[in-house]
Amino acid sequence: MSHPTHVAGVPVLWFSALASTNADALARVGGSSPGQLWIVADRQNAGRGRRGRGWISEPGNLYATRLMLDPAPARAVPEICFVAAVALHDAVLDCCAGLAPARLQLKWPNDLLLDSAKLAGILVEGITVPSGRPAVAIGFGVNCCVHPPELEFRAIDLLAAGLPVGPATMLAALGAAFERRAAEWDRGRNFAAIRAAWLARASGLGSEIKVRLGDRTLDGTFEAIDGSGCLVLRRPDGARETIRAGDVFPIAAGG
Amino acid sequence: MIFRRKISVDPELVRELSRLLEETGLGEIEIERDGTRVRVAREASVGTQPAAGPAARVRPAEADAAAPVEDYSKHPGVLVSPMVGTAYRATEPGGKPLCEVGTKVVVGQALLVVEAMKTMNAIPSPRAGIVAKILVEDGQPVEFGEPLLIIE
Repeated sequence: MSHPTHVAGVPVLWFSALASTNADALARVGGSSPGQLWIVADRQNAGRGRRGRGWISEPGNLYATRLMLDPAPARAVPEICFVAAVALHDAVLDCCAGLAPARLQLKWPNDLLLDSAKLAGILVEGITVPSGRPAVAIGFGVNCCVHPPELEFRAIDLLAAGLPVGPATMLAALGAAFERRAAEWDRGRNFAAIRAAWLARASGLGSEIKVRLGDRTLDGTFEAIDGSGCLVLRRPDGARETIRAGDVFPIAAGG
Repeated sequence: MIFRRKISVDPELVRELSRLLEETGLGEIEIERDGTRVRVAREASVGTQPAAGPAARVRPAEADAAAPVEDYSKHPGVLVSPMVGTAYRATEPGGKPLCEVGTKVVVGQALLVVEAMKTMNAIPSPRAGIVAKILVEDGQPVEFGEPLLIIE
């Protein structure tokens, strides 16, 4: 299948293999590449997850990074992970006819779950260019036809769920959805709309969760996300904690 | 990472510690409860100025107990956080810190990472110089505009 040169008006560079689509995208900032770009690879040899974790990158899935030069003022940049999450949710629904929307949920801050198993992940990495403007690489890993074996969170792929969608089709849907959601976000001026869309698709809202921070784990009720996207956790003693970064796990009923 | 919206001070606790200080004649008492450390100490002039009374200071347990709270926000060499998040010294846990005190840095060199949500933001040096002070611990929550380090 030939690869697209553009999706939703944004140029696409598609490679057979890269170390990491995010790393490649960030290395292009300040060079002759356009500031708005998709970098896609059939395979990543050093795919990245949060805090230096690897991302298993077998061929057949989508590994794509949207590079955005100057997406918003620096303080609004973290909101992009919610823009990306909502766009990814839109995109998977758009290319999976008949998939009930309720089966597809977002886990804070931006993992996409299908039937409570991890279908896709997003890693946003930002830098500041010498002019002082931010640039971000929004990396998407979507399990189209393979998924990693059970790690600490169960994973799934679309093919295994009876939804055959190839990486090129997924990229076309994701590109269109991303431009729509980014326009809605409007450089952070309308994060309220993205936050509302995210909450409407949230996994575990109102239920008991466990949040693993650097060196400890907190239990509580997942109440909401606040105006900047932080997770609001109500502790068993009634205190509210605002969490900016951590790994969320559901607490199974009775477990 | 986590932060409480506000560190609430229990005035009763401070009063009780102050009374204990008077009764025992100790120079200072420090207790830690629910992640908040309360230290009540007499002024250095204890004994000569009884009217001054004990001075109370409250701060998060993560803070260095002995360090005086200095305001670096107006320092000419300060680098402040561009966003609310969690500061990391290295790109991955246990990794080599991006800079240390004494590191010679160039414009644009990444000195810290601030994570907000799952967005990892490399914080570049705005100028060439030497890292004189690092004001954040690895994994410390930071506010918008909070001083991160000093480059001279």
